[in-house]
Amino acid sequence: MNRTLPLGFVIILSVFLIASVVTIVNSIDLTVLTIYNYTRVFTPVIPRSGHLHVNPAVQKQIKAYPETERVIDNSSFFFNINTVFGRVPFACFGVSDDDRAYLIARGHDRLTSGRMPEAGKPEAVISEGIARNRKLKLGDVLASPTDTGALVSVPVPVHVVGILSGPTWCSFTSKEFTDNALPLVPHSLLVTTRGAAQTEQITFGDKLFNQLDKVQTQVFSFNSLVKDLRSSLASMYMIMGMVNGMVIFVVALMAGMLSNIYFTQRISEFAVLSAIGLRRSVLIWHAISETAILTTIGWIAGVIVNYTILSVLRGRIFEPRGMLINPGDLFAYAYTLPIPVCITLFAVATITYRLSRLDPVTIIERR
Amino acid sequence: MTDLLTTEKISLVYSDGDRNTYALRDVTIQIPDRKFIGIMGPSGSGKSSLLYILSGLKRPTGGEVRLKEYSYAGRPDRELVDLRRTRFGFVFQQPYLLVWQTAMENVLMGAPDLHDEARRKAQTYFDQLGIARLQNKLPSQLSGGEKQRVCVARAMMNDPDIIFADEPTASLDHTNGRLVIDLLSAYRERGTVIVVTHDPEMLTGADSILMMRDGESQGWVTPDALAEAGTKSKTISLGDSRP
Ligand SMILES: Nc1ncnc2c1ncn2[C@@H]1O[C@H](COP(=O)(O)OP(=O)(O)O)[C@@H](O)[C@H]1O
Ligand SMILES: [Mg+2]
Repeated sequence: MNRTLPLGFVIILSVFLIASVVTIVNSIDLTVLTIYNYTRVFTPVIPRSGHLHVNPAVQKQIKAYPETERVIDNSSFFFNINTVFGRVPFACFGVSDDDRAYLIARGHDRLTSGRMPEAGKPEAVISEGIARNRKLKLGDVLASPTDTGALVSVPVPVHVVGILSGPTWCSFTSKEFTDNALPLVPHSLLVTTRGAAQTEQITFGDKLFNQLDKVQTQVFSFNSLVKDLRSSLASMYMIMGMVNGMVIFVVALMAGMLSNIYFTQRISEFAVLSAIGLRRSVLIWHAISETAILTTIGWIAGVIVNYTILSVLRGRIFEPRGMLINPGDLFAYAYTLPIPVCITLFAVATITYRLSRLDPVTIIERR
Repeated sequence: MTDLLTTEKISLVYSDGDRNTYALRDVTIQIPDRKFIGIMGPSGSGKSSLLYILSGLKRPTGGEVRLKEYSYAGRPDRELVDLRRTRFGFVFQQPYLLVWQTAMENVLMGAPDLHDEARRKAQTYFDQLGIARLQNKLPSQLSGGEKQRVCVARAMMNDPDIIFADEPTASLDHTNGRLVIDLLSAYRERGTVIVVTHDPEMLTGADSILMMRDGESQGWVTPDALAEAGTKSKTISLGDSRP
């Protein structure tokens, strides 16, 4: 029993190692998707530089689409959020109170602490995720005139007055505030579909991206944004993919080699069974079912360990650094499957090879 | 009378470079059915070698071995494996068991098929061998004597024609050794039991004892004659190949 402990322990550690590495690597993509999640709820259409508003003909075109539900006038200021790939600007939308409530509900978010910004005041509501990312609480400054790198900075400090909970990262102030404080900032349109399903919004976003005059407007559709960012991060993805591959390869191979040592130690049991007449195929089947039980238990334990540790580290270490991770990432656990496979293959190879060269008598004679 | 197991002039030669060691030399014996047979002799006299050849664990360098009509001295490995599984049972000096499996599962390894019937049969052996309460324990939880009894049960699972036991008591204390021997000898109601040992006390109940020396058969003796010879000199009436 205690001879199986090292192998079981290695399986747990290997599963943890691979699953956590893959989860952390996937954090880039999860970050990208989370930051742009709001474009699955509405599609911003912004005028090209030099214009304060989207061209009226284009506006008419948007309103004429049968899918269109609301076309919301908006102007934004920007604040920075932290990500693994550096600070990126995030928009705080200035829309009417009614539209704000509509958009928040559409994103399945709701106000869980504080209140909504008052009309015309330098105030904002932000998602929980943003609050954690920036370590902000009610009353803190979200954006200030001295911020560096913001696309559009504010003339006065904007304070957090409310926190939203829900899946969609977003931030809102009041239309009166942006209108007064940022009179020269271009107004964009936030377009929503009649159907509330995000797939419909994404499809419609693609349609707007493809059909609206690209000289007049720029469409921030979910797919185009994600594609842009992914391609600009391509080399980081590649490096991470290589790290991933190497870790999986090395760990699986080492687990396999340990399985080889383990079964080499136990070859006498199998040799004696071969002496009493069990065929090699039966013995191999026994080794496989044994490793199957062992790896299954080890794998489940590894998954639990990984999930627990990542869940604890998520709030303490990752999110404050802008790394969004999902401890329940099924993809990450799928990448740990080479471990049991490798262990089983090595077990079979060990037993086949050793038994074929071993005279059971030498084991029986051993004192 | 047809014998269960016969050998004709079997020899086993180990080549050590250019030196040849005869572990067995022209051994011709006949072993009848349903007997408790002992094999005795000094260390290195070829007892184990003989047992391995009789049981199909080794092939002789020369000569013939037959189980009834079936001659298997030159058969391929696969056939010998099947022979061992279907016709023979084994108990070795070390009670090797699969460490991961319970006593019951280890015993079932000796069964030809895994039917409910096999489980029932194993159950009766556990009862008969006095280890019923151990069936769900792992080998690491058993004592040496208990493990050896599990091995005896495993050896009986396929209703073998012959159970071969090479020094089955050597790693046990006297009481446990005696117990294992008694359990083995009781099998002569159903088949032949061949026990190799260097301890004459273990063979007091044997039907016949084959004496080995320097790789050659010295013939058969009875336990009584052996006991007598042990107290006097070593001259026993020897010579026949049949007990
Ligand atoms: N693998 C081997 N290689 C060389 N010589 C061996 C080997 N196995 C046994 N022998 C020799 O064969 C002889 C008989 O051995 P064995 O059958 O084990 O005797 P016993 O069981 O009576 O002690 C001994 O002289 C021993 O040294
Ligand atoms: Mg021996």
